[in-house]
Amino acid sequence: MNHAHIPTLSRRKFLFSSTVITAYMMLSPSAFALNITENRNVSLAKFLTNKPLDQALVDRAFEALIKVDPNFQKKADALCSYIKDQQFQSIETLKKDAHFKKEHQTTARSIIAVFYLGYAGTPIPQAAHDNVRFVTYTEIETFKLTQKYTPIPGYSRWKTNYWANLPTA
Amino acid sequence: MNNLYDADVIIIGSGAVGANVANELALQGKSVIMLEAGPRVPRWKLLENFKNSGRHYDRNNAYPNNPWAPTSNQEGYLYNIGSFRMMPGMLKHVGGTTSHWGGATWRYTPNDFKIQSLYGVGRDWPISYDDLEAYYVRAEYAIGVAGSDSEDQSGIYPGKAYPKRSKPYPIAPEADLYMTTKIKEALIPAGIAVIHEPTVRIPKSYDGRPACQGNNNCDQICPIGTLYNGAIHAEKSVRNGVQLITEAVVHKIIVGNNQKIEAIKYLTPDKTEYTLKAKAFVIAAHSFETAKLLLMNNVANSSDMVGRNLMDHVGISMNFLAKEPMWMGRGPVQQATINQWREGDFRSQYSANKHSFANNNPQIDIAAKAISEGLMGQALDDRIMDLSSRWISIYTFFEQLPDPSNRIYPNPNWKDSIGLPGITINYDVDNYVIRGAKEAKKQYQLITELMGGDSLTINSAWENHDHLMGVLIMGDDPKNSVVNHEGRTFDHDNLFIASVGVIPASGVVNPTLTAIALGIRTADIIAREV
Repeated sequence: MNHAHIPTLSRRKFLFSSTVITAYMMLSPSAFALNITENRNVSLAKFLTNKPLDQALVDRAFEALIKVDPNFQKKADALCSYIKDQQFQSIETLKKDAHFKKEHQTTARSIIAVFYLGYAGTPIPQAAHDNVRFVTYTEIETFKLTQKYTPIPGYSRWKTNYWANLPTA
Repeated sequence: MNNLYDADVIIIGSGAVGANVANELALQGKSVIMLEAGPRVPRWKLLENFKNSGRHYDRNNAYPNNPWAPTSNQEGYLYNIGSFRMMPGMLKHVGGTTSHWGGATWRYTPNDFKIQSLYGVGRDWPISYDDLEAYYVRAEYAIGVAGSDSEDQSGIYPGKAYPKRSKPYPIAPEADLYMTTKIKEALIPAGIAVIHEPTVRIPKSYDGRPACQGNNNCDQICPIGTLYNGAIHAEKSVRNGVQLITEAVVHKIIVGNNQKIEAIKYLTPDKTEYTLKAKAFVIAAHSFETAKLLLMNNVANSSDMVGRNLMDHVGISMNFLAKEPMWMGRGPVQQATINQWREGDFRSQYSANKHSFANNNPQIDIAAKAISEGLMGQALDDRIMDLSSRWISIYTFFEQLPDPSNRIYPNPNWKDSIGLPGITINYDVDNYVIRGAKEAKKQYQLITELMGGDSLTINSAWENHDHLMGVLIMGDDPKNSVVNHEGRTFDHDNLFIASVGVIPASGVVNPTLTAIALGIRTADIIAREV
């Protein structure tokens, strides 16, 4: 993609004021290093998304992932062990690791996708049935990122004609 | 058969067109039975279905998909054998497919009615714009259209309000999106008119519907009931005396003396069959199902044109990144259009077009693509924020010409739960559209340059737009047309069709308003006769 004449919009510019938690995360990149004292799946999901996640939501997410792929928990455990054994402190260091195997990458992407897209599985367009499992809609991380600018579709919290102007930075 | 009728008029289908016909007849004192293949589902329940689904990419998912009344996404129900995979978003419940739609309610222009006379292609309508104008007004006021009274909708009369109107729109348009303002700033000085799409997403309360609050969910379900849908008139017609029978799948049409339709037979989900008689019959059961029903019964088809001449506004699309944040997804899902290339002598050579700026929230698609590319952590968030803020998308309609080989017919190799066939579709995009698409791609480049955008991506694969015209084609010659200008079938003088399927020349604008206007006109004609 050519961004030559358009400065990339920084996370700071967009998100610094969005929430206290987000601001804290920005200042603390290792905030979600694997926490061996908490539930493994919760710890892994927080590490991969770099987001604070609710245990009930993580449980729903893994339940969905396992319905789509019965072997998923094993794959998640293997990824978790790899992160712990190699002592990665954040997703930023993990993703740059030259030995981050394809199968672990796939597992990581599946977990990240659940929280950013709200479902597990593979959509089939223009079909009544596929293997997609619902996890969340209003708690989708993508919508949390953009919440200052756009409503979650179906959940407008603004009034008629709000769309005429953008929110001030 | 004796002359004991169950109703003056029986209407098959409770969508936007059928329900408006039913209501008009009821208001004129006629007894009406309206039959609907699907169930009657309250809006709150549909909304709950939407909110509790992970399948938001499937517009049909919130709606009932019953084995006797499947949606278009039911595997096997629609069987494509042509080069184009036609997959319209058909719904089967009270209110029909306008439960999820963009809400665009355009009029055709006078030239659209005489494309053969003016440009030597396609077919003329058997009526003119002037014949329909008063009914356009009635339709606009019935369904509550917000539109601009000062803009040229044709592209050939800059600065003039066009087409002419005998009455202003019932509702003034909503405020321009921030994105629309920026688009206008970039394109209008270069001579490209950007105008406001007439819409049933209303910025102030009308007929019990609240003002739009920009939920950006029109293509799925409007959570507050602003967006007009057929259920509004279905329910209104019931309050005005119409008998609405749901889960009633009409499968037989009985032809009696003098080729008059005497009765119809319908099946319930448990296959119980019922018979109903009326003085007149209106089929408004989605153009595909209407054509299928006629073909199953060998009714109204002496011309061999039932199911033929299928025309959708097949299109292409593009997206690019604006030079500054625009934030698609704020407000209604569509608003600004470019009708610059809707009219002109070029129509003798290639298709006209209408470019529409999409405003659907693109963020989930952006995130999905970024994740599939392997982005994680800060890079993923940055990509989502950057692209979501600058994403611009245009989708384009073309005018397919009527061609008898583009057709639908019953598919006996697939059966629903009550034994009725599916639908076979044969559709190929014609050269007139292919040539039009070449021109549109040049226009995409120009628009992107004028807006200072980058990363232009043209999506050349043909796209569905669910405007299924032509399969019940209107004309003045019974040898090549199914219905006359009244919507009356040539073969049976008490059988009428109310559907976008009667439209003989597709133009480049969404046809629902025109079908409702024609339906109201048909209702007036029937009311004088029964």
